[in-house]
Amino acid sequence: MSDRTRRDTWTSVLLLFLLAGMLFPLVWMVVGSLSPRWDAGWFNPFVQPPVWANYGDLFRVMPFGRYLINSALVALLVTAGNVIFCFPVGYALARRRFAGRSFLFWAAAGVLMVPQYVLIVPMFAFIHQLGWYDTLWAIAIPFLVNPLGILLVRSAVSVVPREVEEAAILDGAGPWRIIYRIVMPICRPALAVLAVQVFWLTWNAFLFPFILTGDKARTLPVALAMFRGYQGVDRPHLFAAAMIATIPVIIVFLFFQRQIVAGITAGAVKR
Amino acid sequence: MTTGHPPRGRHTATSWLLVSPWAVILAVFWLYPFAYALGLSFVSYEIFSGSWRWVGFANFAAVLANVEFWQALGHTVIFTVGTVPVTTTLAVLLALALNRRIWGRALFRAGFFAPTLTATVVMALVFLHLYGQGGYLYSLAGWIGLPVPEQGFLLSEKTALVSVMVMDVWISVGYFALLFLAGLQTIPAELVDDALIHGASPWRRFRAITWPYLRPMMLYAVVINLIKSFQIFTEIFVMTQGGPLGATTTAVYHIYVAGFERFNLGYASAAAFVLFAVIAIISLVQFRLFAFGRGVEE
Amino acid sequence: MKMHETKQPRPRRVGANLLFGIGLAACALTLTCGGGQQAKTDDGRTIIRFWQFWTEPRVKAVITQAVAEFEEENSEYSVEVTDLTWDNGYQKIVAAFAAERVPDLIELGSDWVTQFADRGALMDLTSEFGNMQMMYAGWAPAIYGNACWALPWYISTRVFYQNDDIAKLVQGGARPHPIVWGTIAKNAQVATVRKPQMWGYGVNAAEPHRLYKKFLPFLWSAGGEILNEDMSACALNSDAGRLALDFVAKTADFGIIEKQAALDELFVEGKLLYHLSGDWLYEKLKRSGTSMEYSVFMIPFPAPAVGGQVSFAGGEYLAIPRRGAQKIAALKLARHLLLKKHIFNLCIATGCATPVHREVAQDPYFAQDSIRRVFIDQIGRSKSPPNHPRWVDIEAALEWGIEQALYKKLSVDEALRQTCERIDAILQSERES
Repeated sequence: MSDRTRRDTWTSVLLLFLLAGMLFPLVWMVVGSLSPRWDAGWFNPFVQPPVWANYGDLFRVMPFGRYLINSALVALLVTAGNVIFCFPVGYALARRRFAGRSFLFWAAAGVLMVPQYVLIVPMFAFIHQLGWYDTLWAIAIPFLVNPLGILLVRSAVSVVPREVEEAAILDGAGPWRIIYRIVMPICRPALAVLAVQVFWLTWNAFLFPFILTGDKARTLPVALAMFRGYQGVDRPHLFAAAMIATIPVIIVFLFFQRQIVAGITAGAVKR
Repeated sequence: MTTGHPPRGRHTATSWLLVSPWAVILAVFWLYPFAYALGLSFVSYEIFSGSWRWVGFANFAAVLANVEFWQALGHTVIFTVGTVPVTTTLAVLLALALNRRIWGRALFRAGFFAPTLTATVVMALVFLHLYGQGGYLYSLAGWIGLPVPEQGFLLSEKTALVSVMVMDVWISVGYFALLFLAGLQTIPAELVDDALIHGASPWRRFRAITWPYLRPMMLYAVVINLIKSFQIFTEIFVMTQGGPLGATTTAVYHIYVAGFERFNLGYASAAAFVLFAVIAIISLVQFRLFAFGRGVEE
Repeated sequence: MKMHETKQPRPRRVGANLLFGIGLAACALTLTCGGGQQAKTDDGRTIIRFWQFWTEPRVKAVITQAVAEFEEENSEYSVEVTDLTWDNGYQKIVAAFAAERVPDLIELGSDWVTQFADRGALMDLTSEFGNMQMMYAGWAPAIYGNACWALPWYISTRVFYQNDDIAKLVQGGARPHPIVWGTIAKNAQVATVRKPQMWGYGVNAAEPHRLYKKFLPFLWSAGGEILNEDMSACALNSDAGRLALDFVAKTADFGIIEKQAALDELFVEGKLLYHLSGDWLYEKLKRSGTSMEYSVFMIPFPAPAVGGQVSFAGGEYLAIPRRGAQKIAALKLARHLLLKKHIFNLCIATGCATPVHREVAQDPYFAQDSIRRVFIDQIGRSKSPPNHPRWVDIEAALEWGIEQALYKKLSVDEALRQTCERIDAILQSERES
């Protein structure tokens, strides 16, 4: 046993080094966001105090608070939608035989594989026609069911042993009961991954929010792009904005991380 | 199959009810743009006057005859082949490491995942600076003794693409490690303990216990990474704009330039569908190769 | 198992067809129902849609204020401003034009005006030109086919910045401005010896829409042209072209190759002796609070008493799409934005040294600043690229050639020859279409 602990200590040390390397660019970004230097370089905090005003500026020069709320609302809505809707779809594609199954599956893969750029012109026209231009609906509703999520659920469900379901059927459980009471809890880690993935994708989405919104429904990534101007990048403010844009995602991740860990007990007990 | 399943009609109806969210979203929002884009690739479209004329396969012919398109595709293949295996391997190793009982585990997980959490555009800007001749990575490389190109990593045609690839791996490793970690968490604890009691070697443990649970997640991860890598764009757009000397022009960047800088939407659509076909074929091959569907049919 | 399999194909097709049916129905539905853009606000004011690129907060504030003033004075209008990012803006423009949802007033870069005009996308503003010609400068990129298609809003040129501290070092105490290209090369070489503490010259790396602006001053100063008189053939493959490209290619030897933003930064940090840049760099220098001594000078001559001191001029123009809904109102808004005081504010916010309004240019803020005066002098001797509808493609070919020569992939002669081939092909395809 002590051999094991020693090995794990080495693992920890190695990971620490790796982590330092990985985080360096981010640290540079944090420093940059507080930098009094116009080019957001390193500065000596004892000589020049960190400029917290960079963060305050953001809310003064643009409706940054609104952008933040927009991003949050859309991300939450889309994540919730995906968690709720992707599961039945993925389950059906994995387990049930029915007409149109292949079509739906390949359509899901197809939507992922088409470069988004060719879709923006028709999407732009379509969203305008719906009267949804510059509204949160435009960037939330079409993405409520993400093919990525469908594929993830499908692969997660496909490893759940059939005996579990068969046992439930023998017990007289109906299809809905099987899906939601039995299979879903087993797939909880996958759902947690799905939630984090969709949240991150939505939070960081740029192309469609840029094309389909104006000033009212703008989200953070588009706002970030505004800091790149004709004459170069306004780095301190860009980095400050990026920090604000990143922290909620980290929080979401930390929260769902526990769900993933909780999956151990759920999966183990089912044996 | 199994006994006692409901009559066909109800079975189908329930199935359709289950998939209805996707069916509706697909039909309303994605089929039309997809069809429109497909239609665009068969016409010559003048965006300012809105006039278009049918040109049949001329756009596709132009795409396939264009050396720059093949070069872009080549760069994309290099990019994918260079990043997907590396990211996957590193992610697996990282996931295995993070699965152990090391102190500060949660912190490590958050830390490794942090690069993925930040907006790609911002990360690209950060790396743009770090890779430059005044940047820390450049100085670091020189200090280690790596052969550094005169013009900085991103401005030398030999190192530009590799530099972007390294950045992509850096961003993605934590993300895929998380996916694999989720897969690893589904391994029942008793199996592991059983194996330990029976004195199985680490490699044996990996093959017999870890791998079956890791495999579906890994398949998913590789396919997703493949699809994502084939469409790599943002980093190129921010950092290199396809240069120097076109060394980092990837397929989607080529499509973007054709459509949005040369205003040639017909060509751009055709190129996009050629790319789509390539990605589809590769994904299909992967599915078949790893018998993706086996989990369903068994 | 087998029984299910044989029964599969038909239901599958039925299901798929059903889905297609739904999809097509949805399309048909939306194509018929649903209207265009909203024409009036809730309180009955007419909406003017204005798309513009000034997104940096400081500059955006000027636009917002000007627009607010317009709305006050013209209460029947409400202006909806859409911000376009510098990098991605044209994606949205393409989407809008392709989807027939064009804005009423749009800001276009000088490179693009001709293309839009040629395709009939813009409203003819020749009458405005008649009225405004005396008071405003920078009309060249907007004139095409004997008509004027856009109004100049912001123009800028490029001059050489010199780090006087390094210049003193290199020239032993004196720091006169180079008068000929050769002097630049000589001094830069001396400075670059001390790299990485300093470099003698900032060479632009391959950046679309930027690299060619650093070549054209040399081409034009040497008396060369890109296209011939009637824009029917490429004229690069000339002695002047060779001279210019030769010099630019050589700069790679005694300079540092970097992107524009990085070169600007290097100059502000005091590590660059000569750098060809615009007026925004002056703003950056002032804001950085540097103690470095610097000055600017006009493009040097190729050789003593040979050629001219011609630089590149470009800018942002206000254009009115022909298919816009509120063309008259858009024109009113454009006139308002071009008022003296708004031009003045715009220039202060952007650091522009060459206001489009002639009277504003005479204001002491511009005329009595030693650095801004050089810009004003230079823009008087600057040219814009030829007004060809396919200029953007020609520009790409030109940048390709410059890059080949810069990276020593092709000899200067070969680069010019192949570039001319590409340009001729573009001209040919334009004639055929």
